[in-house]
Amino acid sequence: MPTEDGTTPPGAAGSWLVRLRGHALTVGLPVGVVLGVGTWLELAKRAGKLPITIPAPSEIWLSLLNDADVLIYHLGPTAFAASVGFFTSLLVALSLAGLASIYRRLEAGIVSSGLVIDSIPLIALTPMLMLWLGKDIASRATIAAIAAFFPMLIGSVQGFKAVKRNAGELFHVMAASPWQRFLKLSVPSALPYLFSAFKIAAPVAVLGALIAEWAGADRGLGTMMVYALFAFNPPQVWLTIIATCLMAIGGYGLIAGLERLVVHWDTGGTLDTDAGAR
Amino acid sequence: MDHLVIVNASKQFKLGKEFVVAIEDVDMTLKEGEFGALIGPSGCGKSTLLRLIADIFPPTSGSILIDGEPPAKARLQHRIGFVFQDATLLPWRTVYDNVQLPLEIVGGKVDDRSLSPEELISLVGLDGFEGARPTQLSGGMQQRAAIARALVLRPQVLLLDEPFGALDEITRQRMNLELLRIWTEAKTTALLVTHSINEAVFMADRIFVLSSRPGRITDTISVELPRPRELQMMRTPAFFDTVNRVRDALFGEEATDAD
Repeated sequence: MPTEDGTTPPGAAGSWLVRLRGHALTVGLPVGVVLGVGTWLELAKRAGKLPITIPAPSEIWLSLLNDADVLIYHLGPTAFAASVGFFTSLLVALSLAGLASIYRRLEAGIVSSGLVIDSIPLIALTPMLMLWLGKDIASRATIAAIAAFFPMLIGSVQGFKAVKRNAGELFHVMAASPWQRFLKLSVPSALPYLFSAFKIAAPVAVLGALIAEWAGADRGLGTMMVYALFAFNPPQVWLTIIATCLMAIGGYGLIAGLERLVVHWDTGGTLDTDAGAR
Repeated sequence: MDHLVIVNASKQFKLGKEFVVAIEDVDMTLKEGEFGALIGPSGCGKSTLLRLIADIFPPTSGSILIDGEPPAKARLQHRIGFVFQDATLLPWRTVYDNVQLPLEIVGGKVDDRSLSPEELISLVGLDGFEGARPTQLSGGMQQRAAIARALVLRPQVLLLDEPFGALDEITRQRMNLELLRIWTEAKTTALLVTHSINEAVFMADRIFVLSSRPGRITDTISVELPRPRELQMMRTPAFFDTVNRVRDALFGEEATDAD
């Protein structure tokens, strides 16, 4: 607790231990679950209790060792399509949200249009886009962008509205220019919301790219997955599934890491609470 | 000379389809360097009046003049300092960076009237906390940083919207003394919104009593206590006498029975 005479910095003595324990839970829990389920699958498979579509973890591991070069060959295009889609989506969402924050009347229309776009089944849309835009990066990035768009839009619209009333009045009394207000108030106020949106959107962009590749692409995790399915190679199917998961988690991780660098303040915030009530 | 002049000012807000009168026909003046207090029940438009003076929004009718000119001019020349009820510090900035924010906004136009953030941080007793984040500070310390920020451009008018309303009695008492000390050194005209009678009497030269709905100034009471004010004065008959006059003005005849 902060007192009148002294502060308690968040990184006080002994807290590294606490933090380590926190990380142990974040990483340890999923790893524990994976290990547990993996061991169980391995044993069940060896006992012949599992269907042919579910391989033993050791088979997936073997598939990785055998086909590492194939996997790497297919990873790149998916990562690229997802990234291009993510940033396209980000630019469009930020622009539209900016527009909605300047012209408040447009907000409802922009959000509901975003919802309509979000509700279109990508499975149906993808083949048509493929016909219009061709089979290359443009259509795949577009699908990834559409998939990631709505969470991005909602987060940005919320973020641009996050300026507290008093803070707005403060900038008014200080006679700040619109540009100063934007840079020194609106952007920092929006950042926590934007990062929340980006963290949701990044894995979705990966899945969007995957769906696009399913509909027809020469290279990509989705392509590899389809080949493996038609070749009836369950270990390889599962290998691509795991690779997709890791890529989605990696996208989240990159953004979470960036967030830790950029949003370095306590977002519990002082702006919305009574000074003395804390 | 009258520094702040308010003539016949009214403010209506549109709430849905209806108009709500926040304040009506307010007349008041403050001399240069005078300390005024606005007191009244919740919802009487005290904060609205303060925001009219700060040019946050214009009056519906009537006029407000600072140094004979509209408040927009004083605001654009950075001559108004405003302290909010919550400290309204930017959480992504350190104490130092919060205090020097107005200097940043003014940019190259800093003239010799501005104070250095270092001086002010020390004036409000936050030495050693320059690098702290607002969330690491107690409520009282946050509010002191907010006062330092309001003073950094050495404003000619300092407007305080219940700055210590959320603090406990002990901290509040201490902050009042500090604010008076800072006000003496900074030599600004000050207007304090409060709903504590003791605070108003202890701080102000003159107290403007507002009634609620619509907010009107029903009485103006001069405080005849010497300066510098000291805590012992709160035990003097002169202090009680003024407190009673303010209470009478606020409650009318009820006061005699109430307590």
